Amino acid sequence: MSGLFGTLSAATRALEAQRYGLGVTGQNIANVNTPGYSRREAILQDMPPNEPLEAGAGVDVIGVRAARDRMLERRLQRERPAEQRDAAIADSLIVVEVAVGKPGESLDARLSAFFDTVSRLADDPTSSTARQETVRSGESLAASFRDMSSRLTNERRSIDEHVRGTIDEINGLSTRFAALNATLLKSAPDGSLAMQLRDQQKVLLDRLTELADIQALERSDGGMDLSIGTGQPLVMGSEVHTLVGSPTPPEGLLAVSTAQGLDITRDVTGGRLGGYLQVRDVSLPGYLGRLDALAYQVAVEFNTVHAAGYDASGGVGGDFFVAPAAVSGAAATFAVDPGVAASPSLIAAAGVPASGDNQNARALANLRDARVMNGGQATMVDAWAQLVYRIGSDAQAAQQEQQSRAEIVKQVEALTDAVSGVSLDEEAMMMMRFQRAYEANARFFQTVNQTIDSLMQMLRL
Amino acid sequence: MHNDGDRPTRPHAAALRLRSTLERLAGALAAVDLEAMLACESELASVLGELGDWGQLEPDARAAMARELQQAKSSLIRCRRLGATLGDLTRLSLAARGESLAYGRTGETRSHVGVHALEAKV
Repeated sequence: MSGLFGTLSAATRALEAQRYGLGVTGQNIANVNTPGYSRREAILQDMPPNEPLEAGAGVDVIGVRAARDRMLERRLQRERPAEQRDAAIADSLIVVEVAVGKPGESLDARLSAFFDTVSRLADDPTSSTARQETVRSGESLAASFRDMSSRLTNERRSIDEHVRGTIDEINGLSTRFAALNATLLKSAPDGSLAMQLRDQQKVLLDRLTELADIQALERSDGGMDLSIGTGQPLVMGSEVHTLVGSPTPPEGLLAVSTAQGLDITRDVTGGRLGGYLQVRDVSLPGYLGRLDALAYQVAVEFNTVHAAGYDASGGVGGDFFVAPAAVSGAAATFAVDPGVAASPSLIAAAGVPASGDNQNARALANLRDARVMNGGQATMVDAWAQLVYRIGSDAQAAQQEQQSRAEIVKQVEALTDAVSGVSLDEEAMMMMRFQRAYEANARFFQTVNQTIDSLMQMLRL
Repeated sequence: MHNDGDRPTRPHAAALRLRSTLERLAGALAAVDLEAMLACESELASVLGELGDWGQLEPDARAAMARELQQAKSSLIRCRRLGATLGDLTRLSLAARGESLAYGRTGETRSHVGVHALEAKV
């Protein structure tokens, strides 16, 4: 096919190829704001010569493929679960932070008020008003412990509702994802319908990776399999493996399990679901544990000193607070002993069996400054302040981590935007230019780090 | 308006400059702003020289200096994280195109283009 005919044929093919390219460009422009739409590329290939001495047979379109950079997407799919996990932790802990109140205005204020009334009782141990005030103040402190325990427990339940909602959303998205896999199986692998379906899958996958640590694996039939956590199947072709949230004793909180009944609660660590589970199963039980330890110690320390004294009628002191059975649950059951509540004269203010003595009331008042918490390191009020600080710093750390990850997600997106729309060669050059500009700065990092460390050491930070 | 008492000491001013340069660099990395990234290089080099000039500090100045250094440290970590992501993406993207991020004797980038079909990006 040499000669004029061959030349014209090559030119026609080239024109067709360029027209096809323009059509693809139009499609890209029309879908610029379509979520999940991936830029298409017309792949042109030079045609080999038909005869040995020919220059070539022109150019032809060999296909259209999605220009989505899969590696960038995978990177985003890795960062998103981590970012959303931290976002869920920060969102949840901010609510907890508000629930526990500010230092000096919450349980610590009740503790201080209680010890104030005990001090007043020490000033006037025979006063029935001072005794009644001490009981009332003790009841108020007890109510505060119970209320705080209930707030933290309710917060766990509220987060559990988020867990349920997230499981439902994952199941809904997985079902739609599997349906797209089924349609993909029936469509031509490189056709425009297949590309549209993959774009739709991308939107679903983006959302799924916000919800949990989802891994996607491409199938040979053009679809995608999804797994969750440590590789538990979620979508296998057109088959959905729904997640189940089943209440578990003793608190009735949901365990996340596969349809086959395998408990994967601990395996889901990423995405919003991972964040909720972290706060529900690790952070909040930790705070509740510290609150219980404080309640237990307050009751035990106060009762021990109280039992060493004598009441208004010279009888040996009993318990002022109901003795807690164990550390766990001490805050939820914190109460003034019903006998003392009914008869404030049973408060053991005296150090000797004589009316008017205040030695034991002084010893009780002195507990305010006693370092009885954290292995003798902190007072009771200090222990509460440390708990409030811990919740605040956990929330702040999660917020900072989330911001940092969000910045990386934005960076990846910015990088994609910066290099798209140019030729592959130019794209590679731009990437290297960015990398070199970074490396020029990075060569100072070691020195900067050492300088900061030594300056901090000089300041003894 | 600052009076003389509010004016930062020299080491404090250098720490302040270090912190703001690192923040600018992190911002440039996040936004993938090449010009801004390049501008930070000379700034970092000069501020490092100033940080060595370290004399006696008043307690107030020490506290201010400490704050700047803590923030500079956070910004440095931010830069490293963003830089690591940029590096990963560059390496992966180049590898996918049959190229590698290697340097020749004269500093030129050696790349091995392995794309045979002509891809007209539109």
